[in-house]
Amino acid sequence: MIAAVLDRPRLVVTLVALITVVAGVGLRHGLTLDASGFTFIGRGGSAMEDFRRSQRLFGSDEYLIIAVAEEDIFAPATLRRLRELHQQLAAQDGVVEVVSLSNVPYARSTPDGASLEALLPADLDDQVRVAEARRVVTGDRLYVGNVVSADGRTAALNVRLSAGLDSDRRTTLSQRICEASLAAGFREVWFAGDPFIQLRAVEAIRRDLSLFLPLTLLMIAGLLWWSFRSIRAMLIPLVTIGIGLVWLLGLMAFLRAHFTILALMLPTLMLAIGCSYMIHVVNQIGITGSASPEAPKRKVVGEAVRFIGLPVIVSALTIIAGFLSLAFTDIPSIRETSIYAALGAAFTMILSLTFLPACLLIWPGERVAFNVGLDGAAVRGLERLGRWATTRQKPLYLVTALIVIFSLLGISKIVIDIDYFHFFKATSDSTIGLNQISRRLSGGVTMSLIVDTGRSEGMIDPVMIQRLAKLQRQVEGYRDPSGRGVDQSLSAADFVSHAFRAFNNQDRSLGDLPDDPDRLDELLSDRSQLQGFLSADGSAARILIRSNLSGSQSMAAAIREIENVGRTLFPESRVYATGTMVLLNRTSDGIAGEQVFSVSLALVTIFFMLAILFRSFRVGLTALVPNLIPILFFFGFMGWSGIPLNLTTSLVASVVLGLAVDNAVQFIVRFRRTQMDNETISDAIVNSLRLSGRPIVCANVALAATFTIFAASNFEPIGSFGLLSAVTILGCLVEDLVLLPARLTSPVFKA
Amino acid sequence: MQRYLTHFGLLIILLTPLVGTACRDDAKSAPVPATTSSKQVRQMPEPAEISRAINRIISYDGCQDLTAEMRLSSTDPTGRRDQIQFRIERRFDEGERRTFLQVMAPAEEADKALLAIQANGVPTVAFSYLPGLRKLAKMTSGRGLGFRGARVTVQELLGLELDQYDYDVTGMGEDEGRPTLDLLFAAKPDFGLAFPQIRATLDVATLHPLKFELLGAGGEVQKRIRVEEIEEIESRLTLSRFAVEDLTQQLNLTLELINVDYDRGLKSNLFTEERLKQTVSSAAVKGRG
Repeated sequence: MIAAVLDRPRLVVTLVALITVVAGVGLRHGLTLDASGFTFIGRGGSAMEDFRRSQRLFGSDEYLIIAVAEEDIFAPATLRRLRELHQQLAAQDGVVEVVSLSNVPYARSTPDGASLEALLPADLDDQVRVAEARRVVTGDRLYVGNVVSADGRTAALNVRLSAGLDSDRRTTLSQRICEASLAAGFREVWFAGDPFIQLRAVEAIRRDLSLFLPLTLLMIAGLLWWSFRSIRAMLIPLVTIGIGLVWLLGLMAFLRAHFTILALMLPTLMLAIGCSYMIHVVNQIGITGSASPEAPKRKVVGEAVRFIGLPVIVSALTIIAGFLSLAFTDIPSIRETSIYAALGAAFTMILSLTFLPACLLIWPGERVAFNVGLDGAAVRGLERLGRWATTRQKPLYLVTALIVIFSLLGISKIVIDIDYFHFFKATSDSTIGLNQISRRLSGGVTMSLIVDTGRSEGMIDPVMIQRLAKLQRQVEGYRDPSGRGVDQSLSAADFVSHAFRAFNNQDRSLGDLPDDPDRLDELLSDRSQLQGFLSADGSAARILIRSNLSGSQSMAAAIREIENVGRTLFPESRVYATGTMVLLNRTSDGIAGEQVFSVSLALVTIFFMLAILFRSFRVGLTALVPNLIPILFFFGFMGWSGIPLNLTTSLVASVVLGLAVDNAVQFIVRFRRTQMDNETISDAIVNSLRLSGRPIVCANVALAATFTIFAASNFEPIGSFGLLSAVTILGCLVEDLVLLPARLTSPVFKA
Repeated sequence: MQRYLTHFGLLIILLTPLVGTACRDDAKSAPVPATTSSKQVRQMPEPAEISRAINRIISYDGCQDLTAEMRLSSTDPTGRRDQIQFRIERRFDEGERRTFLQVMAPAEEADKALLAIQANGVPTVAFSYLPGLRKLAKMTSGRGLGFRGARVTVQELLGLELDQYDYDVTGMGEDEGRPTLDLLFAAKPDFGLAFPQIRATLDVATLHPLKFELLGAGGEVQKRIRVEEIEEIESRLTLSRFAVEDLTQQLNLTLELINVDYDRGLKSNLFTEERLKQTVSSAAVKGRG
């Protein structure tokens, strides 16, 4: 392959250009941004089956909640605005229904029965009827917290979107809904619900991308310039990395892959990884060129690529192994991102060994030489570090042992927690909206508790409806140790109670719920009003639970408690909690196991690769160990600092391990080569650090710097991932520059 | 069965306003032809002519009252066939229409009945009686009624209440080779109707209705109704068979007219809350017995 590149560089460049054009064609329609919470939820398992069943029985629960605030919601002008907005939203294509003060049904007692009508009168200037509506709505649990606040100052419009909308249409529709709501003229407007979070997430992805890409490019360009002081050595790697990125995104477009919140990291990650390869390749070309300043560039490039090819390929394979160790997860977003990241790493590796040398060969000029800083202060510093490390082994091992102990103790304290509703920063309008809606109306974090009798009409029984009401009361009493808990619940029992009281002229002495099956049957004669709460065949009921719970730990405890209460009250039925939040919570249950699996898989795979590269298990282990310490420290640090293991922090170990082993590979390959030219191991180590230390430092600084850019993300977990990865990469760098040289003095390497 | 009952209401709507509608032409018990044999009219009818045709549907062409029995047949996705029968009585007075509707069979549904009062310019009021609670339930057009768990709105039961809508001619088209006139009915505000819009297609040649599409709040088609057969009963052209496609429940149904009588001189005391209570109560007692 190297010969082909050297013999036909123009053909290589042309082929790469053609592939890039094809990939560019694939990208002409862009990529579909998908910020759905479902990208974090496994498609299989009983929890997902329960969720699908509940969707079939009760319909989609995907509501965009709009809260509007005024001094008095019941002022005629405000009610008119609310009604207009309601009608405007209901008319949007893709909106299944809107539930608000404007259309909630009301059973009004009449002398011989009840009148089933809309709560608000057609004439909003009818003061008597509006006053009645205020009295009813602020005192009935059917309405308070769901469509209006108890103080009558905040009203909610609950907009249910069609389940069949694709990501683009959902985002566009949510955008229209938000714009219409903001333009309606209310004093304050807040939004919550999954569609709104998705809308803001898509916007945040766009903002992040527009920030990350130029920043990363700028940083890499600066680093390449600092490393080689050559326009050629800066431009060609940048173009090469850019082409790799176009290939990757083009492939994603051809495969109709969705660009998720995690995929947001891909472009930056690819730029950083590509930069690392390029630095090693260009550095080697520079070293070879410096050694033979008069040699023609074909010879220099050929020799350099032959030397650096294997370590670059092995480094790429370790990175790919690190990513692919995450591909076995059930979480679609992680799986897809890791597979595409692995492909991206492969693309940039191939390009760094083909396109980059080919470009250098066709670049005008007979010679190729870059400043690789062999005489610079940085290299001198690295040499001193090498000498120190090879003579201070005992204190080094002692410090390492202490770090390991500290880390192991911290690992036992690791907490697993996913807070989907706080993916955004505290100052974002989605977080503020959720908090305001939770405070003014009722909890914006919803879940469903399903009671499934498994038999037709099983729930149409006074005893069952009374138990349902009792279950609600117990559920509403739930509080976790921090005082957070369930704000409110709603079920068919509330609707039955509302109608029953109306037919009884609000005579509470007759009870809230009927004892007689015929009466219950009559009150439930129009089940279409209850389709979200009672299945069409009457076999199952749903309790909508609104809470202010936050984080999967808190949710898990609540779910366990609530399900237990339900199972006690309905021993003969199947009782389970479900909903997007519940599924996300179940996802967190699997994270610990998947973390152990992915890190173990990455370790074993990388170890075998290293063992094969160096034809020795002991050398393979030597290369691996210095990179394990920072990974161990990363977990320990998380445990001690209380940073939870979540969807993104769980990626750090596998990703960083793959990236960091690159250092050891580069260093050991150099060491083995220099060993032949040096009398002592110590000299070989110092010489290796002189030749490979600087590119290793540059590559790791590039990686750490680009990961640090993630800290500017609008998504908290991406920011945490970036910072933790950056610190861990730097930790690996230190270990590779200190512990690895110390380990290389082992007799294993004397041969 | 419950789905048949649900759709019965829907079919009634169509039938009720259309039974006795206007069309005193020469057709006799024949399927609606695919092409108009007499005249292939392609020009847009005059607005006054369209208005008269709509009024014929809305006003029942001057019919004083009617009774009808209807049979709703369906085959469910498993191939099981079922049938349900209803009886409808309507009386037309100056400025007001009253309707009494009762399920006749199967027996376990016979305690279902509805009384509706439609007065010009105000929202419709309907009543059902709950024998267990011994209470009247008063409701508006948009309210759904349950037949063994299935849903039909009062508006559908009352023949779509096209008089509560404003309409526009949206253009001309073609249906199975016939030139057609397309109308869009938009609900008047604050009348509590179930369908914000209804699309109607009329045969340009005869201005008979060919099909209706009932649209939901988001503009989606919820139900499609096609007039399949027209026959002459008591000198009135009667639309006697309909095919209904319910897109929300994914069902296809057929409604046939078993018997129609026009202008029988129905008394006003047949359309009272008292009769509703008695009818439902006695049916409920029989049902329990």
